[in-house]
Amino acid sequence: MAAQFGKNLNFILHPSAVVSYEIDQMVCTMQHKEIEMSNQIESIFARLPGLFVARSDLRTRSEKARATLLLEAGEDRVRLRIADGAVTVLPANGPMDGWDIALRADSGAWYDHWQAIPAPDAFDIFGMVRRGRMRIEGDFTPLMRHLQLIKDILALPRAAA
Amino acid sequence: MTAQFDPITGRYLRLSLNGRSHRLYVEEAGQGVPLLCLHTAGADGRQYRDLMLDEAVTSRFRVIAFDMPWHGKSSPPEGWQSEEYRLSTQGYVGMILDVCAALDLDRPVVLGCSIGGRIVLQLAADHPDRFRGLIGAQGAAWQDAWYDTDWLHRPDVHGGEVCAALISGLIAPGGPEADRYETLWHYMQGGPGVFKGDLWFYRVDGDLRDTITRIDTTRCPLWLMAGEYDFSCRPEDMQATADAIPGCNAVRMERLGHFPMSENYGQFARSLIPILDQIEGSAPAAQGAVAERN
Repeated sequence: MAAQFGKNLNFILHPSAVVSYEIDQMVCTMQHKEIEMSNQIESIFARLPGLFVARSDLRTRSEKARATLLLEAGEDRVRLRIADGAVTVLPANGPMDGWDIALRADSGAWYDHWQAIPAPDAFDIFGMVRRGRMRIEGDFTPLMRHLQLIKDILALPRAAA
Repeated sequence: MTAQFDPITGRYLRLSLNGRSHRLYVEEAGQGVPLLCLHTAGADGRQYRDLMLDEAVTSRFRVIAFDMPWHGKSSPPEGWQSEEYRLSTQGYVGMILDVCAALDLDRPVVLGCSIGGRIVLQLAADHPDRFRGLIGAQGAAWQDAWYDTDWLHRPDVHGGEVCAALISGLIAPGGPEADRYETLWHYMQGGPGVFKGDLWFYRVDGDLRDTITRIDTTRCPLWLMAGEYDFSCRPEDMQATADAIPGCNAVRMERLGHFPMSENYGQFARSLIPILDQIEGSAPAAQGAVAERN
């Protein structure tokens, strides 16, 4: 792999090797950015309970709600439980970590969803499905029963941006 | 007198639709060329309130909006309790023509949104000479479904809440908050199964892809409009329909979604008023009528 040689050796390499090295560097940078973004998304998921607690209107609306979501950002996944007027982030890697419905998107889609004014393809979870940026799978009943509440909770990082 | 009233008049119109007695709630404002406004599925004529308060329009147009039966202040017909509401293409067209006749509207302009934006295509195909201009906001001959309408009416999900929550993502961000939330309130107030019944036209009976081949825009000008945040009737859905109709005008609207007239009228007016200007400019008889009244 060209990137193993280090930058100072570029001058003795064949031009195609230099190009190969540069492409590897770009890929590494992109992978690094993806990892960074992935970490950011995970930390944003982790902030949802705190953002929720600060919103008395959401606390009131969630008093009778009960749903467990699987939130997936690329390879990373957490569960978000809404129950008894509280929101909790739970791990999702255990063999019996159940959930009602999964929202699967890549990190970039979540990142775009949380922009202060999201683009048309990132504003709404169903719109993201329609635009091929998210998959929603599982038992739709809890989602549809509490649809606006869930949309509002998932959009909380937007207001905090 | 200290009471402040909007310059909008609301009345109940008695008429027969498809052989059944109805009492339709009709609001209007302004004078001039009749402009009949058709609300979206599951909502009512309140969506056009800001249009009715725009003097740039009401100084030249008689703006009229009616609540379809089962919507807003227009109750269902007698016997509704033992039937399932379904809006059909034929019933929708008949209703519009009957309202125009009952109000004695002379070649009105029709502005419809969503299902109203779809039905103007049927009017353009079958009744072009009865209208001065047709404007379909969020209008396309067809678009693919993005959810199962069974969710709109079932005993284990609150109908008003789910209707509003589903369409909330079709409203563009950044518009006036009060208007965005009032648009949702209209949906929360719909009767059980009414939104779903309207969508029977939108999803089942009203595939107008063949119908639009009959449209002759030289007999009646046609505009289609679409907000960029609408993922139900997407701008590309509207554009595909417009491209298939020779002479059809297509307007893509920024910072708007599926409910341009109610979610952010000021932004909508930037696109709508130039269209109304064109229609008014090509209607010398109507201009004369306005001048006579003045």
